[in-house]
Amino acid sequence: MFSGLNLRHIRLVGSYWMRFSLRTGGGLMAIFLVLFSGLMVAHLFITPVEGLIDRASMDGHTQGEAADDIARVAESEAIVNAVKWITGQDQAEVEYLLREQPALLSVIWLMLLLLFPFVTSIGSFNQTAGDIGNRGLRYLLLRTERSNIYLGRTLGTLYFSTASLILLMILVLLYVGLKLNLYSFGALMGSGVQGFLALLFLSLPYITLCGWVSSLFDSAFASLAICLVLVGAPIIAISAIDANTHADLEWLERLLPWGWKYELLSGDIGTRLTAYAVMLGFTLLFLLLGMRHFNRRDL
Amino acid sequence: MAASMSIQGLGKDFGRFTALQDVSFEVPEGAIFGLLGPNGAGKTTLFSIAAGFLSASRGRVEVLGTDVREISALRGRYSMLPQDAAFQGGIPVIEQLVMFARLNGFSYDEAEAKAIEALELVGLGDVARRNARALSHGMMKRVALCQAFLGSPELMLLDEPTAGLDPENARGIRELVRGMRGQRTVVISSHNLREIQELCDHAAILHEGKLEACASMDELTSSGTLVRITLGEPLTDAAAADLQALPQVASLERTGPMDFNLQLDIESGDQKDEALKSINKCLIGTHDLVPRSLNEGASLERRFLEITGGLYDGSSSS
Repeated sequence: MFSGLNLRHIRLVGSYWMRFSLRTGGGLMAIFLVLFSGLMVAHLFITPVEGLIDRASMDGHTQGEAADDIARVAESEAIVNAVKWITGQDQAEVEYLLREQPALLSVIWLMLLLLFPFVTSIGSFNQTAGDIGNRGLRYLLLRTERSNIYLGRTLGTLYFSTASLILLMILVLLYVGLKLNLYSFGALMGSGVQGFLALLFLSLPYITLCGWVSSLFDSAFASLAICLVLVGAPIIAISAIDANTHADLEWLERLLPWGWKYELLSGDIGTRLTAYAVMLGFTLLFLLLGMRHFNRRDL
Repeated sequence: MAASMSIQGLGKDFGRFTALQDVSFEVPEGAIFGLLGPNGAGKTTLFSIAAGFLSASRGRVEVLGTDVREISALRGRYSMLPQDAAFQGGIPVIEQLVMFARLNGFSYDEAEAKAIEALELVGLGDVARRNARALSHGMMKRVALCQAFLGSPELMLLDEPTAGLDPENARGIRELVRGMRGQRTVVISSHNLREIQELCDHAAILHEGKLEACASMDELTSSGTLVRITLGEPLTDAAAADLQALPQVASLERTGPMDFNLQLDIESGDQKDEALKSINKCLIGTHDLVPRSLNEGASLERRFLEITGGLYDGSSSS
C-alpha cells in the first residue's frame, strides 16, 4: 500500500483534480454549497443583531453602547442556557464562547459545526466513484501507483474544502467587522482563526470517510447516498435513542467525529489539542481504510 | 530473444466465472504481436491485468522484466490503449495529455512539447485545445492512441485500436503501427484477422479463457498444401477448369471474383515448386491472367476458426 508513494505524483494528481473539478463545474458547485450554507447560517444570526443595532441607533445610542447592549443579550441567561443545551458543554466553556470571544461569531461557528459534516460530504462524495464507473482512472493507473491517485484525489478535495472555508471566513469576518463594527480587529481575527481551524479539523475525517465510500462504488450517485446515510444516520439514531431513553450516550457519540466537534472551540488549549488529535486520528483511520480498499479493487 | 512481456500461469475469476485459465506466453522484444480470440475469450481481461486495472486471481505478468504491480517502476517505458477508458469531457485534450506526460516524469514544458508531438503524430495537432467532449469517436480514439505514444514507450498494448473507426482512420492507425516495427514492441488485440495477419509477426489465440495457440505468424498460418491467389482481373471458367485439371491441384475454391484458393496434392517441398511453376504457366502463359499476389499457407482466419471451432465459409472477416 505504501510502496511507490511519490509526493510529486500525489501533488500533481491533487492539483489537476482541483483544476479539472473547477472547470467541469463540480468544484464550483462544491464551493457554492459551502458559501451558500455558511452565509445562510451567518445571516440567521447577523440579521437580529443588525436589528438590535438599528434600534439602538434609533434610540440615540452610540456604537459602543449598541455593542454593550448586544453583549448583554448574548450573555443573558437565556442565551447561555440555549447554547448549553445545544452543545452539551459546561458553564465555563459556554461563558468562554459568549463572553471572552465575540459571541456572534461563536454562535455562527457552533451552528456551522452542526452543518459542516453534511456540507463536506456533498463536496467530497465523488473523489473516485464517477471515474471508477466511466473508467477515467485508467489513464492514470498506467502512470502511477494507486495510492498516489487516491491520496492525490484526497489532497485535491482538501485543497477545495480549505479554499472554500477561507472564502467563507473572509466574507463573514468582513461583514461582521465592517458592517456591524462590534468587535476589535484582534478579537475578530482570533475568533476567525479558531473557527476556521475548528471547521477544517471537523471536515478532515468526513473528507476521508467520503473518500473511502467513493472508492467502494462505481456510481457517483450511490456514493453520495451512502455518504449522507453514513454521516446522518448515526447522529439521528443516537438522538432518537437519547430522546426515548434519556440514557447517557456521550460515550456513543465519542465513537464518531461528530461527538468531538464542540471541543474544537474549547477555551482550554489542552482540550482543543486533544480534539484536533482525535479528528486527525479519525482522518487517518478512514484514509487507510479507503486506500486499502482502493488498492485491492478492480478498476 | 528477450521477452518484453511475460505472462505466467495467469488466471482471473469474476465470482464463479473464470475469464482466464492458466494462460502463459511471452511476447518477444521488438515484435508486433497479435492477441486474438472470439468475443468473451479474455483478451481485454488479459490486457486489463497487464495494465494493472484488474488484479490476477493467479499467476503473474511481467513487463520489461518488472512485475506490473509495480507500475511506477515502468513509468514512461510502457503504455496502453485501453478499450473503454474515458477522458474528462469538459477539459481540453492537450491539458489531459500534459498531465499524463508530467506523471511520466516530464517537466511542464517538456510534457507540453511531448503532447503536441504525439497529437501531430496521429494527425490531431489542430484539435489540441478542444474539449474531449467536442471530438468525434474517431478523433477520441486517436487521442487515446496519442496518450499511448507519450514519451516513446518501449512496449505498447493496443486493445482494439481500429474498432469503430472509418476505413481511412483505421488505415492511418495501421500505418502508424507498421511504422513502429523494429522500434518498439507492440501487442495488438483485434477482431480484424486480416489486419492482424498483415501487421503482426507473432500471435496468440485465446478461446474461452484458455491459450489455444501461440506462435509466429508463419508457423500459425503455414500449411504446406494451400495456395491463395489474387488476380488482376476475374478468374474465367476456362482458367479455373485448366487449373483444376493440373495433377498437383486437388481442388479450387473461389473466395471472390478475383480471389481463389488452390489445395495442392503434393508430398514434398520440391513438388510444391513444380506445382507453383505449373500454376503460373497456366495462368499467365495460357490464359494471360497475371496474379497480383500469391500466398502460400492458410489464412489466419481459417486457422483461427479451426482453432476456435468456428465455421469457415471462405469469406473474409471485416
